[in-house]
Amino acid sequence: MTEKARTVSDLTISQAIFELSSPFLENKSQKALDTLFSAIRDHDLAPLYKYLSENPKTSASIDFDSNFLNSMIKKNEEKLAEFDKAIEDAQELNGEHEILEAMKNKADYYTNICDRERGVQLCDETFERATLTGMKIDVLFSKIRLAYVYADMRVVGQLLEKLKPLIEKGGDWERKNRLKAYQGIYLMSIRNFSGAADLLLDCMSTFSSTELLPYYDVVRYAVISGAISLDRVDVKTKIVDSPEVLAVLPQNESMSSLEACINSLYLCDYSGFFRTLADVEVNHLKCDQFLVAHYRYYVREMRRRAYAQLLESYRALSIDSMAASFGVSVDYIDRDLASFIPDNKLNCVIDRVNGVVFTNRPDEKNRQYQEVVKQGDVLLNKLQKYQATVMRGAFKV
Amino acid sequence: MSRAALPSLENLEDDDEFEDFATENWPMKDTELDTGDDTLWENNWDDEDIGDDDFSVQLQAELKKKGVAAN
Repeated sequence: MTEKARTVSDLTISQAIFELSSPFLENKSQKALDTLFSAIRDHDLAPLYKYLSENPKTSASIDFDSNFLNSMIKKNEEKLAEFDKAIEDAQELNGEHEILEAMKNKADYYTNICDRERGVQLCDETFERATLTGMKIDVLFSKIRLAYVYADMRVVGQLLEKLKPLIEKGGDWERKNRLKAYQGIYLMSIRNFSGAADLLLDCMSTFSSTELLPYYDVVRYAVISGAISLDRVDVKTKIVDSPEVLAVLPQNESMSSLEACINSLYLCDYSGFFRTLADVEVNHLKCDQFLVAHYRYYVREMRRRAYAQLLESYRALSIDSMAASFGVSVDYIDRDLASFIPDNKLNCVIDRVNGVVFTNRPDEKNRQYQEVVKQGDVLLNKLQKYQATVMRGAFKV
Repeated sequence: MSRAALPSLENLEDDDEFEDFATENWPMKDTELDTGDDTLWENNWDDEDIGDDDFSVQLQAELKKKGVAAN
C-alpha cells in the first residue's frame, strides 16, 4: 500500500516557514501562510500545523483552531492504523523483506505529514533492521527530508556523511542522482558554492527529486552557485548556454534579474551588472532561507570578480573610466577597490594622485621559486635534527 | 663501530631536541574554544562588507548622486 505523496516540496515548506518567521520579510508572510495552509489542508499535515502554532516565531500568524488540528490528527491516525495493519499482515504472511517494505512505507507517510519525531524514530528502527543497502539508503533519504523540512542543516550534514559511504557501496544511478541534489543544496547552505555548483549543475538534466525542491529552484540554485564559483569559460558553457538554464530562466519573470546579472557580467556590461546584482541581492539572496546568511559575502565576491575581469585586460586604467564603466562615482570605486587590495584579492594598486589603477600581476614562476626555497629550508632543518636524534639513539643502545 | 666514535658525533648534534609527540586523539570540538559561533562554514571578516548598508542600498545612493550630478 502506498500513499499519495505530498505535492508540496520539503524546501517549499521550509522556505515558507522561514518567510513567516523573518520580520524583515513581512511582505511575503501572507503568501507564505497561503502556501503552508494549502499544503496543510491538502495533505493533513497535523504535525506541521502544531509546530507552526507552537513555535514562538510563527505562532502570532496562526489563528489556532484545535478542532481543525484534531480532525487532521484523526485522519493521520486512521492512515497510520492502515500502515500498522500492513506491517502486521507482512509479519504473518511474508518474509523480512516485506515487513521492512511496510515499515518504510509507514516512515514515508511520517515524512509526508512532516512528523519529525515519530518519523525519525521509525527510520532509525528500519535502518537498524534493514540488511539491504538500498533500503538503508532510502530510509536515510527520508530522514534527511525530515531534517530539511524543518531546515535543520546541522542534522542534514551529519546524515549526508552517513549516507555517502552507503551510496558508494551500493547506490544505483537513481539514488546517486538523488544524492547530488540533496548534497548540493547542503553545500550551498554552508557557503561551499563551488562544490554545490558541480553537483547541482550536474543533476539538472536528470533531476527528479521534486519531493525535496521544485525543478526551477534547483536550476536557480545551480545558477547562483555557479555564477560565483566558475571561471568565465565555464560560466559560458555551463550556465549562459546551458539548455536546462535557458529553458527555465527566461520563462520566469522572477528570474529575469538573475539571468541579466550573469549575462551582463559575461558580456562585460558592468553598469548593467551592478544594477542587476543589487536586484539579485534583494530578490534572490536576502529572502532565501539558505542564502540570507551569505548574501554579503556573495555580493562582495561577485563585485570582486567583475573588477578582476575588467582589470585583467589592462596594465593601467584610469579610475574615471572604471567608475564610468560601473556607473558609479570615483569615490565608490576607490573605496571598494581599496577594500580588496590589502589581502591580494585584487592584484592592483591605486594611484589616487594621478587617478590611475595599475595592475600588478604576480609573477607565478617567481612566487613558486620563493615557495620552494622557503619550504626546502624548513625541510632540511627538520631532517638535520631528525638525523641527530636517530644517531644518538642508535649509539645509546 | 667502536664506542670511541661517540664523542665526535656528539659535536654534530643540534642544540634543539627533536622528539616526536604522542598523537592525542581529542575530538575536534574539544580542541576549539567555544566562541558561541555555531555556523557551519568558515567566517572571515575580510569576506564580508565593511559598510553598514547592503550593496543595493549603496548602489541606490550612488545612482542618485550621479543623477543629481548630471542634472
